[in-house]
Amino acid sequence: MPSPTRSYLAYRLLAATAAGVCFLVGLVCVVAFFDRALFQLFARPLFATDYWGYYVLAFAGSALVAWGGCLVAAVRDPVGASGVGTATAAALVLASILRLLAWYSGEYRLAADQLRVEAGVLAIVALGFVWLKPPRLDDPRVVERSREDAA
Amino acid sequence: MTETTAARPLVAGKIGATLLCCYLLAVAVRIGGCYRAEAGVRDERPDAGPRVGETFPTFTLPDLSGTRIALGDLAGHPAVLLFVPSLDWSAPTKARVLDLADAFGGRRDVTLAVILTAGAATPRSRRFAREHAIPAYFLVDAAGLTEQLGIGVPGPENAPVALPATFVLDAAGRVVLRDVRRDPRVWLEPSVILAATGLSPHS
Repeated sequence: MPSPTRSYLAYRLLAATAAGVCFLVGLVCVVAFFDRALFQLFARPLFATDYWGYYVLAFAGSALVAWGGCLVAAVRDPVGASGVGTATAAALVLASILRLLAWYSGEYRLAADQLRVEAGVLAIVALGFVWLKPPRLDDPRVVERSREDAA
Repeated sequence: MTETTAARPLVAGKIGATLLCCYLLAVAVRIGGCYRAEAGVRDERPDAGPRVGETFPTFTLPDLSGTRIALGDLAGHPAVLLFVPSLDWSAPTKARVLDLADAFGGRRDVTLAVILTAGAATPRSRRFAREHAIPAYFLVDAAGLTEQLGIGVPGPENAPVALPATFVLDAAGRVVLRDVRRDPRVWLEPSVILAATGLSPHS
């Protein structure tokens, strides 16, 4: 059971880093779509894909920004928003499996080792979320303590 | 609910997630050797196809758009004939073709031809060839060339497919390198194929 006096600093740092990455990648995806669809400021497109690819990128980018927002909530209130850690760990495991399947398919040969490295890193980060995450708790004292720490 | 009973499922979940993550890590490390290119030439069907120094049998095969391509059309500079079992269900074969396309992409001094049997020219194989914009002729062997060379084997649903084989021809159509394998998971490195053509590594 979590202690009311713990501040879960390591978990907050991990969530904050993940939030930063989500915001950064999400914004790049959204900006790439706007550039491709409207402005075309960049001399070369950011991603080698077609207009449907950019549409899906923009959708994924929006979802990443929303995910980053949820992780910020986990940084501010780790106990109250502990479900974000669970969901993040699950999503990271899924992302790791997707990369391994992409490697195995042979279609992504030219990015082969990058996919394997990404899959490994995502699995390690998922482990971090699994073990550093505070357990869900119904004790209002712990929730209150967590909120005080955040403030 | 006591503290002990609440903690048990929590720890069990963490252990389960940890085992899954460790498994993924192990796969990420080990999967690198699952299929790969190697430098050594193999000849696992010595009795099949033309030997080194012999002239490759002439053929005329349609490409994916139906245009008929003859061996003579490939003459004039070195050619690489890549026999593949499938670009549909064979993941290592797709990796092999992409590997070679990456090494030969943009070169005008060598011709790349990927040959697959008519049964293997499925819509997914055609889509693979189209989507990756591979600079090669994709020829459909409906004339029994694969069988004639002795590199045909029964594939899924007994449709004949080609063994993974590579023939490098010089400008006169003579075989300068042959590599015939049974296992598509290990293929010949593109640098070895390029060296056999006698061309400079840099176009």
